[in-house]
Amino acid sequence: MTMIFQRWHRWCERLLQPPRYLLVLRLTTWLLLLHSIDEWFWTMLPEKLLAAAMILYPRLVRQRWPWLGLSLCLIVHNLWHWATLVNHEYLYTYWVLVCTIAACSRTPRQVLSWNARWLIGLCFLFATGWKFLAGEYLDGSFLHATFLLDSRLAMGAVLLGGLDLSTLAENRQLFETMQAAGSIDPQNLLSSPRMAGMSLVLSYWTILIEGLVAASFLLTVPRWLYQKRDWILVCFVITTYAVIPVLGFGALLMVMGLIQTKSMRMAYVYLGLLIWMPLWMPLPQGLFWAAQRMLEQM
Amino acid sequence: MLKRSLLRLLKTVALPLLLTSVACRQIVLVHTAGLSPWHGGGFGMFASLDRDERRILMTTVQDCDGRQWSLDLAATPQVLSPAAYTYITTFPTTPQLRTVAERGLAHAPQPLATEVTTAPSQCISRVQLQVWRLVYDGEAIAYEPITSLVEVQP
Repeated sequence: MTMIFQRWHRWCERLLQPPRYLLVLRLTTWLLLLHSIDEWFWTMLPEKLLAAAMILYPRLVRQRWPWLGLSLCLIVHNLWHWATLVNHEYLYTYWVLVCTIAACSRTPRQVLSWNARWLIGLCFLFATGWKFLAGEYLDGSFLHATFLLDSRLAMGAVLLGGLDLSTLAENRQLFETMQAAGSIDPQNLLSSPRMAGMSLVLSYWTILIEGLVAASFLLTVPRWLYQKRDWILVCFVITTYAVIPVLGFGALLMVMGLIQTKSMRMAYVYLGLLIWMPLWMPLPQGLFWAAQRMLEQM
Repeated sequence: MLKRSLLRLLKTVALPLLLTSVACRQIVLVHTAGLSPWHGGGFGMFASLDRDERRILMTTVQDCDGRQWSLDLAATPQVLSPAAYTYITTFPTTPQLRTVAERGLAHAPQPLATEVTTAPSQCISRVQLQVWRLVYDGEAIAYEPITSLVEVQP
């Protein structure tokens, strides 16, 4: 076990050897190749091909033209599908533009680091702002309904809300029938007081953690908050994405976190979380569904 | 000197400013033009139940004899492709709804056998469209309109 850990540590050490910006540019090309492959648009093909070429020929990562090409591909894709793309697809475009500026700059590390901090801070600032603007967060109703209707949150509804899977299936069936029939009359969902209470608590937790990420990345005072920003981001990623796995967003946050951190220990944490993401992110859901199947068979 | 300042601006301010502008535009579009908070680059995911998959596009067709029936445009690719359906439910502007209603009028869609007792005529007198969003009050889910009713006649 110790040997495995030592080997892992040495491998990470090699990866993190300066210049770190090159590692971040390479990781970005991997993310571009792999992100959103489950929601395929043909307008994504040029960016995937270019990213694959940059992985196969690592020298391309240092040059500005491939990055300019990638920027162009992502901008066209973004403009083409602007209304239907979700948050992290926008963030990918901004980040590739940052990488392009960095590849053209004499101080690539500083460009990447500065912009990573601001982009993370601003994206969490708007995410927190939306929790107030939408008006469905402060009374817990958004999370309550999401727990009751979204199958991705079934684990939370069972473990935190004390509901059983058949109740959740009934709720989803009710909603699907309502949607298919175009029925606009109110329909009561099955829930529990514990689920309602937990939804409220988790709503305020989300506002708190997202607000803290925004404040710690955007402000340099209070100093203690600014210095703890990496831990706050890691705390958000682990507590949120273990419940609702969003691999593309989580991976990009880790890459951006990696370049802006000043602490070597946090660089290891970001890199470790990123590399093991395909394993740890779906693990809680996998264990939950395996346990449910076992209980069904007993 | 000017070149150096512009380069410095590009390196430090350009992208944060771009993110902020796009996000502010999204907030305006959500509150004025019915864009779904989940889309458009404003970071409104997981803030509202109102996402495109949960919206419904209510379509009512009336023939020249006054018989009326509803039409599921998600299942009518001749009028609206799946990609166009996603777009129209995500960002349902009045001109776009009108275009879809005109296409529906030209296509003269027929009802299911269970919806009307006698066969409707081929002559369509009116197509009405409206997008509704899902809301939850802590006990019940319901739909409320997010756009005004768009009506097209021949």
